[in-house]
Amino acid sequence: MELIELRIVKRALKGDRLAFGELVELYKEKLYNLAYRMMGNRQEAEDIAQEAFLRAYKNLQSYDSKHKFSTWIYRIATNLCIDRMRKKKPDYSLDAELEGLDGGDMYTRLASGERTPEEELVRTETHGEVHAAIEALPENYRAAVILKYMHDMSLQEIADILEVPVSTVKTRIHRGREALRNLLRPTQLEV
Amino acid sequence: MSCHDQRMLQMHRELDGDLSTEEQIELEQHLATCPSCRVTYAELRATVHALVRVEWVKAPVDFTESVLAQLGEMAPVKRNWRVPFIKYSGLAAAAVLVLGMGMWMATPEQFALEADDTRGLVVQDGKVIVPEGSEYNGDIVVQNGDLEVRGKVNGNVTALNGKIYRTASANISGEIDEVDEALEKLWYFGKQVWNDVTAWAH
Repeated sequence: MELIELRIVKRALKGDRLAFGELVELYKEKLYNLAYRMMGNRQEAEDIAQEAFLRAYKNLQSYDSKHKFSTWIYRIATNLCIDRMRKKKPDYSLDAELEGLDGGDMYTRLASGERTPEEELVRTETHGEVHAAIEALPENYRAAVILKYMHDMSLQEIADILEVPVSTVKTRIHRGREALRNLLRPTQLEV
Repeated sequence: MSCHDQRMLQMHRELDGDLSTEEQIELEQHLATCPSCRVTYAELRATVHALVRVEWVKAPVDFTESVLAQLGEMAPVKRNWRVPFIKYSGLAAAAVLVLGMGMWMATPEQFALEADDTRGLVVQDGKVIVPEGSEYNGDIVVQNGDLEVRGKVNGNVTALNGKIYRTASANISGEIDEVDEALEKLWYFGKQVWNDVTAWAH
């Protein structure tokens, strides 16, 4: 697959729109689903997925074929999602800068089972609890969990996409799983 | 780290597949004797199970077209898509079209030729010919028509819903692709790619 993609990228670099169209066809479902799970709605998913391809096209010259094309384009799309999500939450940051600290941050509260406003929303849903639970996750955890479980990425790939160390990816996945466990526990999980 | 936190970390590492055999056995032994850990672990497993079962949705039908349309507005096409002149006989001018991507998707039944440089190519009876003794530099894509290579092609040749014929004197340096679009509405790579993508969701 990678060799085929490299051939297409070479042709696209020469201005071959047909070739770039092939890349879009190859990745549209992947990027659309990534954006859909990150943003929670189809309109933004479509906006972001399209924007990701446009940016890829504009920046094709800077793509280094030593790395996987998949990683590169996923990174573009993920960054767009995270940027857009951060713009929507200006008042409080559930962000990774608090990672590693004990107590008091949103993560600890989620892990302990206390409810955030999003959790209340989850409780009232009768359908699609998992979807809502994912959307209640802070963006860094959400991205790691989605890339691992819905896109089957390896830890190294996720690290490359998010541009963080593998150890950070592991931590985010752990905390993401833990948060989801608490969000889903009374409604979803048949134990 | 408290005992509880240690256990939690161990469970997460187990889910990551990072436990040694000894550690795995130790965890299993602990779970056998500790109901609350057993519940926690089962909930974690169920969470992962729910995550991998999340269904994929389908991208909008006109997604690719829309992206390419926006590309068209963004920057001028670098390649020369238009045919400067073609030598042809026996073929009505209206049927010979060089199409860009967007138009091709809208009119899939029409004959089309895409080539870097059409000088030296002959179009005859819905067939594109690379004449014997000629040397063509670049790629050739023929849609809904056949390609007959009698000379030399320094590039790739592709036939979409058509056949590629070669005479004994033909010489093609690049890839030769015949794509049957009746199979799937897919591009060059056949069902395998689609299967790979959809297998994901299950």
